[in-house]
Amino acid sequence: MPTTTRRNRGGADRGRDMAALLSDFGHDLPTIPPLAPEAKEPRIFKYAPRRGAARRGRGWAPVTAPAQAWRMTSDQAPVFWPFVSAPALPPTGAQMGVDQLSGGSFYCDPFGWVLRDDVSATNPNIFQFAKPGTGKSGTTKAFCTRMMPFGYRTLVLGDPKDEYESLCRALGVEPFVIAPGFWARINPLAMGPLGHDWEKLSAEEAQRRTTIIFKRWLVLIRGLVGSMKLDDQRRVPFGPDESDVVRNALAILTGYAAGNSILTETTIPRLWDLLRNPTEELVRACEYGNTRQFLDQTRLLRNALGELVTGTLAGLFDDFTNIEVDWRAPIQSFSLSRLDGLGDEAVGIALLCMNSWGRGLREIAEPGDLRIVVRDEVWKQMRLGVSAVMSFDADLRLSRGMAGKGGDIQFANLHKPSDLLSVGDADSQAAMIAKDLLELADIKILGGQKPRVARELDSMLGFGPIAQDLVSGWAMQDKGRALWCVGDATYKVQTVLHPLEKKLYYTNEAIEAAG
Amino acid sequence: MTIYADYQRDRIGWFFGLSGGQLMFLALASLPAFWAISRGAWFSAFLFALVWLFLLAITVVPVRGRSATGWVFASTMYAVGGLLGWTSFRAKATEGRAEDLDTPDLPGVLQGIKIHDGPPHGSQLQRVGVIHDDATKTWAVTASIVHPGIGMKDTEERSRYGEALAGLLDVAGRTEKVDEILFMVRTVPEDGAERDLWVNKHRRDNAPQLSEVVNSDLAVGLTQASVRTEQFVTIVVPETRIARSAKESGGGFEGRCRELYLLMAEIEAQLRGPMGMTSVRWLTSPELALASRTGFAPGDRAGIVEALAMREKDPSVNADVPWALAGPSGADATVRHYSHDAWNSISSTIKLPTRGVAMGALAPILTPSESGERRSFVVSFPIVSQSKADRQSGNAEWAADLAEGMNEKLGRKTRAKQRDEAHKARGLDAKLAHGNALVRPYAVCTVTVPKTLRITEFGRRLDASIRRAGFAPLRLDLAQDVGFAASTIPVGMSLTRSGDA
Repeated sequence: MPTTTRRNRGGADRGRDMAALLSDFGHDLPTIPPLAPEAKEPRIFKYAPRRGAARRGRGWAPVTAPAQAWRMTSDQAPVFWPFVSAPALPPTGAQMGVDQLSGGSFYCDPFGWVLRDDVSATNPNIFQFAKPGTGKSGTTKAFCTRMMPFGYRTLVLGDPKDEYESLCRALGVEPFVIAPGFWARINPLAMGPLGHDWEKLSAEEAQRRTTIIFKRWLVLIRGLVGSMKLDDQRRVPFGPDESDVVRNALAILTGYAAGNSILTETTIPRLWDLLRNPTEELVRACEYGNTRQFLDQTRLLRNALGELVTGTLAGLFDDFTNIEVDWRAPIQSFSLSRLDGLGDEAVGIALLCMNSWGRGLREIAEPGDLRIVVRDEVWKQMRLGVSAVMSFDADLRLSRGMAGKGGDIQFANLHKPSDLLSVGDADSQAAMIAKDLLELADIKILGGQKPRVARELDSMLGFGPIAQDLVSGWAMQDKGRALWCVGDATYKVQTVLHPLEKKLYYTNEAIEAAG
Repeated sequence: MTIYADYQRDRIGWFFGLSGGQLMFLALASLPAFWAISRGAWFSAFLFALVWLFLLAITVVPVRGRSATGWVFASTMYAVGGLLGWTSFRAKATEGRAEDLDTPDLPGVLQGIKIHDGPPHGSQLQRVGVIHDDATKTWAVTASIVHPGIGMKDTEERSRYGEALAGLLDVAGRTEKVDEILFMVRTVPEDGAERDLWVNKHRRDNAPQLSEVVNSDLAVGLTQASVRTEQFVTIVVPETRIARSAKESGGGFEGRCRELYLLMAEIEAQLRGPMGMTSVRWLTSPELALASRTGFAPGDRAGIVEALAMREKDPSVNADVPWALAGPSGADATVRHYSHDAWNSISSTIKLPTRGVAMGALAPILTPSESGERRSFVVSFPIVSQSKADRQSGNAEWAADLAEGMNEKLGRKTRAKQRDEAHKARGLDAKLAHGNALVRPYAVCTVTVPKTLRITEFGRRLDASIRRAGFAPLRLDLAQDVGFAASTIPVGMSLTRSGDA
């Protein structure tokens, strides 16, 4: 009798299948469990009237809207392009005015922008280009004033037109006056805070600081000597030989060459004096055969420095600093207006010395000491030649602070881009450095310009014909109008001045008195 | 600069722009004339023909967006709705009847909407708010976007962005699932909420008096006069198009979300890439509720932003807007404007000029003319399915050929306008063959002002801005509530959707 526990699938007349056969021999194959009947998906959508429920208080829509639809292929879709204005920058920093394209408030916060990922600015330096009289200084002062409640202080490194005097006085600060016959002296070869506590420093730290200090001094001397003209075309060269002589002379004067534990501060006249009366030590350090050879070969350098010491720098930057800067005051300004009679070149040299000195003082800023360093009328400094441009370049590069501490916002005012290009021939080294300078400022404010200058700007910055038209048209029509380039984005901004500011920043008293 | 002019009025009806009802009505109305002709009663036939022509005029000829009968019908509906109290809206929460805080309580055309939290998605495991519309049987997701704008870009860059938009629509068309993309821009009066938070956090005590005075005066004066821009994109997917693939992805709501997420990734890649969006953030349900609430009541935003900032310090602070409160507390649709909470709005649709416009011409519409007003603008791109597009372009070409042939036979001169139309119809076919998608876009803009200001005046200004931009406005009278909902609440409401897909 068969013991089959499985039934044949094909019925009794079809014989046994494999499962039945195996089952007869005691091997039951595993069976496939029957599938549970698939549950029907619950209905996701329920009925809802298109115009809402026709019930009291339910906001029933009586009719549908007769929207005008258009038939087109996708390539014509930009006819309805809705994204016209750039999104407003985050509302941080100084509230400057109105972005006239989007109608939003425009805020300027260079450090905030550097820290944010959604703003493409990577350094906080600001370059402002504008024709005189288009509200350039108003924008600068408004920015400085409005940043003060957020811990920012202002340092005006050279105010050639006394524009900041009224602002300083309104803030209870008396500006320093740098002019022949005035008491204030500034030594551009001051060591600044890097020279403090020298005796307590480790050898490595002393070495590091010396490198920084000497580099700054060399850049300054290079700028000063390089600003002296040989004739209409050529300027006094400052090559590796001159650099070596000045470095060795400074090392001897400060006592660094003798291995002194404390560096002695020196001045430019002392440097000149040492070059005129070289010591054996200097001649040997510079590897000259004898004093005569030294004197013969450094004549140009010596005389250039001499001209500065006895001429332009006389009574201004030729002695030890005798002023004490209160770093906790909201603003500090150095008035240079009284140098105007000496010519643009003298003002340029004064700016160069001021900037170098200022950089020395800011080299170690306290953490949290936020400062806006205003460099007004930079074009006067630029005209001193390639070395002066290099010096300015060095000042900007250090704006992010030393060793992660401090950090300044460098706010440089220029008239036009050719201020940067006038330092040398097209494609010369000077012009290249000047062009690179623009790269060091991620924030550029382009105020009103004549069409020719606007074209120049476009060729340097490549901001396109629309911006070019705005600079030469819209921006010229009112004061304080400018295009603000923040990283890649451009904003059409009208600076708005408070009535108090208008009164305080007014810079045309002289012209008004004449009229 | 490229001028975009290759478009035609979309005939929504299926027979020479007539809807089925209109056609039936006219056909029936023509019967007496034919009957009179068959009886040889020529005078009667002439009279019946005159009556038929009159009926044709009042049924077909549009007067400010509707035919005369359309206006009579709309006014009657409005009057009936108003008399019975149907058109006004009172939120259930204001009457203490809100049963579930997560159920949206929105007026009229938005009533069919439900919001679901999608399954966790992306590296942040974010739960995207999925909009489920029972009335239109569609799914939608909305993202908040940021575009650098073309205001300062030169021609070359503009046309690149333009091509990117075309590319986005083509991609959406090729998915054969996304059938509508809506871009919404809201230019909102600045409330200074974020600024206040930042100032309070960064202010130092020892600031000079002068700076304090200047800053605080500017914060009041300048902030009030300025605006902030919010941008959204919504993709709409009809259930009929994803039902089958959703089943393959697991079925149910989750399956549909999986399909939606795939589409979102595809669209996002296009938005971030060629379109140049600097940020694309798909909104979660609370964020969508906030966008909806601030759409109805722009003034509420400051308080919510403050609450959100407080929540960062204290997690017990409730900063979310429940969906039951995301609509207006009360709203009334009037003939010429829509009144909601403490605000009034006027909406207009935009007519394109025949001579075409350049990209970015909408700028005057998006910039408010006066402080305190909010402008919102939606442009919707419904994408016609490939087969339907082919049929439509074939029909258009056939009609153009027929018209030309008839003109030739009758010895009538083809006018420039007709020639242009025929040229466009043939061009459409060529472009479709080259892979372009066919779209039927429309745009609606709305101005919203507090009830303390005269809304009619701002309505006029909006019309003036539209004209200044080179377009023509068409007020959405009697349907102001619908126009407002479509242009201000970013939930993917469509004005031209007739049926499923």
